[in-house]
Amino acid sequence: MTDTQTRTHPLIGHLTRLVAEDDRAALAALRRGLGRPPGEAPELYPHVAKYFPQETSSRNYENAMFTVAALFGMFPNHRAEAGTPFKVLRLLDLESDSTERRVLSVLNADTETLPTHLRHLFALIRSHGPDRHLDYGDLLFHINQWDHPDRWVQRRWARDWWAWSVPIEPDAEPATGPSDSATEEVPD
Amino acid sequence: MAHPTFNLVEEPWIPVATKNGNTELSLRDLFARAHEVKGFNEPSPLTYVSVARFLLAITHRALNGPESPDEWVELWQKGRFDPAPFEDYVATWRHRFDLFDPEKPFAQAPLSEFSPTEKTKPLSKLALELASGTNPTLFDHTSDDGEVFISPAEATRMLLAAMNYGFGEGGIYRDTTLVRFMSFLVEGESLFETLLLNLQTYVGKSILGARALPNLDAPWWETDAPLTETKDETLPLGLTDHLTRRGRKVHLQLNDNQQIVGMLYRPGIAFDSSRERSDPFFAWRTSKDGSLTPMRFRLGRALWRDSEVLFQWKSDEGSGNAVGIRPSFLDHLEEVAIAMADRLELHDDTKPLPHLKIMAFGVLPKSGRAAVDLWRMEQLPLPVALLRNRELVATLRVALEFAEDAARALKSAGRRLAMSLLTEGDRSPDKNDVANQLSQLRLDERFWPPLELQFHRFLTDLDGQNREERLFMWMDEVLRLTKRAYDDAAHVVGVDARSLKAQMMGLRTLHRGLKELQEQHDQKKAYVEGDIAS
Repeated sequence: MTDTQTRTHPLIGHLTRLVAEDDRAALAALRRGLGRPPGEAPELYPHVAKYFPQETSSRNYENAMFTVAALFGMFPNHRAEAGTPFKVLRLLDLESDSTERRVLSVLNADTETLPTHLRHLFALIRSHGPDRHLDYGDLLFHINQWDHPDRWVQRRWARDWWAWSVPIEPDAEPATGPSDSATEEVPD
Repeated sequence: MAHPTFNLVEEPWIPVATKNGNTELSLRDLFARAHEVKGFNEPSPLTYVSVARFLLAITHRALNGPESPDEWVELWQKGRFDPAPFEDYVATWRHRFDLFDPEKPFAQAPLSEFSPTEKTKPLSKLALELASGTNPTLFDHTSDDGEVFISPAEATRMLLAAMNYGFGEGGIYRDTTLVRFMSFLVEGESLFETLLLNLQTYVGKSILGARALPNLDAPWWETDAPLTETKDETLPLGLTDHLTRRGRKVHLQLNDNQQIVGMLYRPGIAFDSSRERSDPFFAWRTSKDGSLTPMRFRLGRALWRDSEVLFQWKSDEGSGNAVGIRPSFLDHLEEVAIAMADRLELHDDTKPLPHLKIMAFGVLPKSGRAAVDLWRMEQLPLPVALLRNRELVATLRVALEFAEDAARALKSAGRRLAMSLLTEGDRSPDKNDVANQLSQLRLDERFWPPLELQFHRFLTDLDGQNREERLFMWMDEVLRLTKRAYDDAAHVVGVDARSLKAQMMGLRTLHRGLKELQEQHDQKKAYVEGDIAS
């Protein structure tokens, strides 16, 4: 499937255009969001705010967008359907006690501490698999759903780490994708 | 005051359901109206089966047959009993059906046959359902100290049940005919059909294999046989003697108001039900060592899981393929189905067999004790085709094995989840803790009951044309329910990281355990889809 057949969130579309245009200054600006609470790095606003949902105001969703944008600045490798961060980690064959501890920390995180744990996780992925990709569209959706009472995101990530060989049943999870209306096609 | 009388021929005592509501019928009315009656309206499974067996005995004797499947089919075609033979029969033996007859009270021994020092026992002893001594139940609070009044109709039903359901309590009492084992009956769409469907070829000979002398069989009221207390087993004369065996010797006692308030109660005529083919309404399972034991209810295991014994192909009995011996009354039903098919070729007006149900009745005794844990009545659809079609029975067996294999995979997954949850560092968890955690997952409850519903559909829809497709659909359901049962159980374990890890470890085990079943399923799917495409 080519990328022109993929409909993805406009924020992700914007971020991937920065890579395509080799806009290193923009990526550096995004990295200023790392280690700071979402929304407190003004450098991110030009890249993120225009994609805030129009109809409803959702602080949770906006924070998720800031987090994703900052992480993208650190590891700007998006590909649709590439999988979750845990799937990428699994593919890097980094099984060890310390990796396992990191995985457990992410799963135990709440929405407030999640950005910090993800930053450490992405640093690990970047250092061992700089050419790997992950699906930032799914990541945005998953971070937004992190507090779902069912904890379906955590289950999904846990499956990607411990039970990656088990196929996911159809309709087992909510449909992934942007939770607001706007989507755009990502050019090749 | 005149001596009381309650004659079963005229007095209503058999609870039935009709299209106009529930009522009680006398013997005379029951046989005259059996075609109008939907069925018994008896909540106690023990009484249900006991009354049914009593009525079957009367039916055989009144008809003095049926002597062949063809004769059975002719009876069936009539759609109702001819009242004449029944009227003759009950008129002939009416004097033996009075509950309070001073010399020969129905199903009892007269007072003169008890020791003068024999103590009165509470009526609750007649019914395992009622609280008495060692068998407390949830449904009755009758105590041994309180006086219980029961009606003559109730007493009649309880007497019949007590003849079949009494535990050997060590010492002088032996188990009665039905108490340890599962007994079966088939149900039709009216009481006429139900009675007929459970009849067998009968020519007055013994058909229990003990003797082959003609015209020897008779129920006790016809022979005047004494109700002796025998510790040693007495073989029955034949079918109707066996169906009406009096396992206990009872005499009902009345108070000054002629109410039944107590009884004298002693052992009756002993019989070892566990021997092979002791009862045409028992099924036998082949154990691992090759021995045969009558089927009985097992805690936590519904009847349908062992239904392949019910449909055991007759010619496989005794072979390496056999799982047991099906009830021999089903052999008669098979013969009847063949006779019907033959008749249908010649007569368009042949009334077909309706959708049948097979019912199982019995108690689950407390382990090692003369007490009831619970009593059960279960039912399954009974497609007659299964009695005649070996391929369908083989399909049934494959289906049941598939479910048992899936259950084993589920249990392994649950055990893995439990172990992962309880593992601290390198230390293995205590196996009792694992077992405890596993039982909290309630995997059996999540898996078997919803699957039973699907099994009824599978059985009802199974026929010679569609068995592969039905089997594929069954496999699909089993796999789906297995995964759902695991998911549901895993969801309640917890949602912190450690619990999630344990759930995923269990999921991996489940996936591995189901791999072969998944392959069977996929192969069956390809076969069915290929078949449909062609």
